[in-house]
Amino acid sequence: MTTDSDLVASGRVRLARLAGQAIAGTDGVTPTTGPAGRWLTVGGQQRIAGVLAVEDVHGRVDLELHLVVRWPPQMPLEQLGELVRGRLRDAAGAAGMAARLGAVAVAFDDVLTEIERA
Amino acid sequence: MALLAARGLARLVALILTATFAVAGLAVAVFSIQGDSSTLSLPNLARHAQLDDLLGDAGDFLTSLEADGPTATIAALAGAGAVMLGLLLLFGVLARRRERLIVLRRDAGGTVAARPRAIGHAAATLAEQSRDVLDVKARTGARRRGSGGRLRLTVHVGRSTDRAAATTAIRERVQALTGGFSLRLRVRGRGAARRARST
Repeated sequence: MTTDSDLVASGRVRLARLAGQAIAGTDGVTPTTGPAGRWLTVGGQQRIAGVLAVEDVHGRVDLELHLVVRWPPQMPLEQLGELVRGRLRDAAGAAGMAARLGAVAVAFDDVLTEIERA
Repeated sequence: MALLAARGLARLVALILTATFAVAGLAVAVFSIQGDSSTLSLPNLARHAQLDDLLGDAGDFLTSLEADGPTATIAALAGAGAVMLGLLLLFGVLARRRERLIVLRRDAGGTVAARPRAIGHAAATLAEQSRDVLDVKARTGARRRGSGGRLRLTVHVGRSTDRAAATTAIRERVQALTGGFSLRLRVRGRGAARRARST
């Protein structure tokens, strides 16, 4: 039996999942869970790395996306962040969850050069 | 601000204490070379440090401290002050400083921000792509309020390099990365023999 709290949690996790997909669909960025491994959302037997989802009392979900930029970036960082946010907004709209999407904060936490990747 | 002050005080006290203990330890080590009442003996060190006089003074003070009176009041206040100072020092040592993000864009839908270290890393990597550049150091910081931050690049170039051309090229490259957000950029060309500044 599905309870109300499950539905609320699933909305939060669904938006976090959409955020994860928006990150994965953007060239040049990868999610990071941070030095302490705390930047992630757990729910629905899934761990969405680099996404923190917080739901307020009105059911709106604020998202915090933590990203690492792969070097060289395809565009200025501001545009790159806006691209991810735009993709997430579009995905939320397509999924009928635009009204539940709150503030989206994108944070670039590091830059990964080819030497560091090797 | 309080955290910065506490951190600075903690570092200063740690430096003074470390230096004091080092000097005291060195003195004890040197005065342990000889025994009895020789020049480099511990009893001689105690005489030099006037520890006998200190014992007498401390004894008088402790006697007056046991009785009610102004000395006890001052001692109690000094003790409370020492506790407060200790707490402040602990705060300075243990409190973690939150790293401020450089906000690139802020609107009703949220923010786009970057960690200063990431911006500095990216700018340094861009500058290092030039063949003329020997070394780059980047310092970044976020503004306390609003968007943007500051980025200072110190670029080391060879003696024969045209510094003005090199710094202009680096500036253009870095500005292409940072886009329209409000970063203050200072690029310094520095040769091996003498310093020159180009901002």
